[in-house]
Amino acid sequence: MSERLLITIDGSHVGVLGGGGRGTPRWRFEPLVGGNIDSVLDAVATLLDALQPGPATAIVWLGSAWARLLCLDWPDSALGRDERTALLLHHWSAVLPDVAAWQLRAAERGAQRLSAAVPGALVDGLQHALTQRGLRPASLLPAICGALAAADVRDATALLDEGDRATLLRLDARGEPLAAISRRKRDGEEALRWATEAGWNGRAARLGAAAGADLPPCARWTAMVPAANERFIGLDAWASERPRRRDWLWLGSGAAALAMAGAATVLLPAATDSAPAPRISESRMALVAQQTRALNGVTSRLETPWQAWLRDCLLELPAESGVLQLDIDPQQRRIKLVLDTADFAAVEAVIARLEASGHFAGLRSTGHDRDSAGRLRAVVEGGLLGVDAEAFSTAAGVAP
Amino acid sequence: MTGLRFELHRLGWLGVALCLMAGLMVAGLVASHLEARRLATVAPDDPTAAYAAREREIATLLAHFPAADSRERQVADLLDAATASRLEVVGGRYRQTPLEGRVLSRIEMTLPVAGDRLAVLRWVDALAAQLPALSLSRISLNRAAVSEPFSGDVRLDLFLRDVP
Repeated sequence: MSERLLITIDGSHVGVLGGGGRGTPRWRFEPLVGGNIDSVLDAVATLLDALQPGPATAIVWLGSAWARLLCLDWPDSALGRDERTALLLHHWSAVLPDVAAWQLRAAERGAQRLSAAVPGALVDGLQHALTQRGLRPASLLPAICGALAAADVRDATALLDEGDRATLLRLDARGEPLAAISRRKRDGEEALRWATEAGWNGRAARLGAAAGADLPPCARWTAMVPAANERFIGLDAWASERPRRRDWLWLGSGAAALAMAGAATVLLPAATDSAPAPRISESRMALVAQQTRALNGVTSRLETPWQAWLRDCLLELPAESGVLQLDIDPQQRRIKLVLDTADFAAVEAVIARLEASGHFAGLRSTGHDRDSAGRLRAVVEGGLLGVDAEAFSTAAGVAP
Repeated sequence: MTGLRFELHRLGWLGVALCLMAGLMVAGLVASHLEARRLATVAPDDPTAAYAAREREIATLLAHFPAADSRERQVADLLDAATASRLEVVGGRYRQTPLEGRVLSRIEMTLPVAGDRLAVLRWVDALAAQLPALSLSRISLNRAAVSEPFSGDVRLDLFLRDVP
């Protein structure tokens, strides 16, 4: 387990608490000269170089000189990440003159209403300074958040007194922040009295140890270092190692997907291997093919409209015309008629009638003679329609 | 890059390991499917399913054909229909041959007939109603004058089912 290094930054000092792996942890302080971000980073670098810590996890607390707090009314706690970001930006735009220069954070568990803004350049600079020296930046929180997590204040006004600054946070009965304000104290103003008179409610709780007045405020925060501060974990710019609630969903989904993928990997090949379907034999395939051909041929034969041919030739002919000979050969698709008619006009009428039925084609007179009474005996030949000649060979049978 | 590091940090070692294992398993599954597809293109298709389906279709179709052991009854029905139609069937020759695949037989019937045209038509209609597995092979009718009845040969093929 690596050592923990606490870096506290208020408006006047930067403090580092850590033993460097040797003996009792002790404080080192560096006053801020200039009061800007560069001076903070310079002071941090100076302290770390002097301390020469080994591999450690760095926790950074920012006082109200550097961190801003704002309580938000989210319309829905189940908002998506992009929606939360957009709302956060909207609310903070009314507070900060240059919101783009700040890192905005909202709590995703614990205090849902609380949001914080810290200067982006300060976060980036601290991260760079820490990683450059082999330190792992694990947590960056406004000091009031860490103090609240340690004090477990409920239904009161929490006060963090930081020398010339004071931060007030109004908390409901569940410890949920309702409103936040941070301001520079007036000369000689007692912060606790100001908090009590703020009118939020009748009780004000001072966070942090009152003792050690000779130390800078950032050192007095050490009494508030909690064992765990996950209640405000969502505010943390560097996040926590612990997965958040949504991450558990992701992990659960991933585990379920993993189980399903594993089951599919194992079960699918097993299912296909365990019950191999027997392949059909070549001889059986040939037999099925033969049976298919035979049935196709027979079906075509049975669909031949032979009843209609006979009906057309024997029943539907015009009057004054009769059939003396009828020869129908479906296999050759040929029909031959010998007609008894009065003249060729009647033959033409018979041909027209038969072809109009749709069962014959190419009918024509191929010869004629006359009987003893002088009537015309015309020979008409033509083709049959609706017959599959190939079906006759398919359904002709085989040698037994 | 910072975003990626942030997400990896959030997931933790357990999450990253789970993601990696899931990815490996999915990759393995995809690879096995690709290999199965490659083998399927190399190996000949298994036609078992198609032929099994075809066998079921054949069995369904065959159920519509009269059984081979009803041959005599089918011929008797044919002759009875001729009698009822006043068509004289003066004789008959019957030759049975199996069809390819040995599931159907063809009864080739050559029938000398005599009767007027209406008798022929009545008989044809009766056959269509009573013996649907009957098909015309050839018909040859003639008469000396329109006032006389037809006489000639009718060759019919009757198809019977050889399997139970």
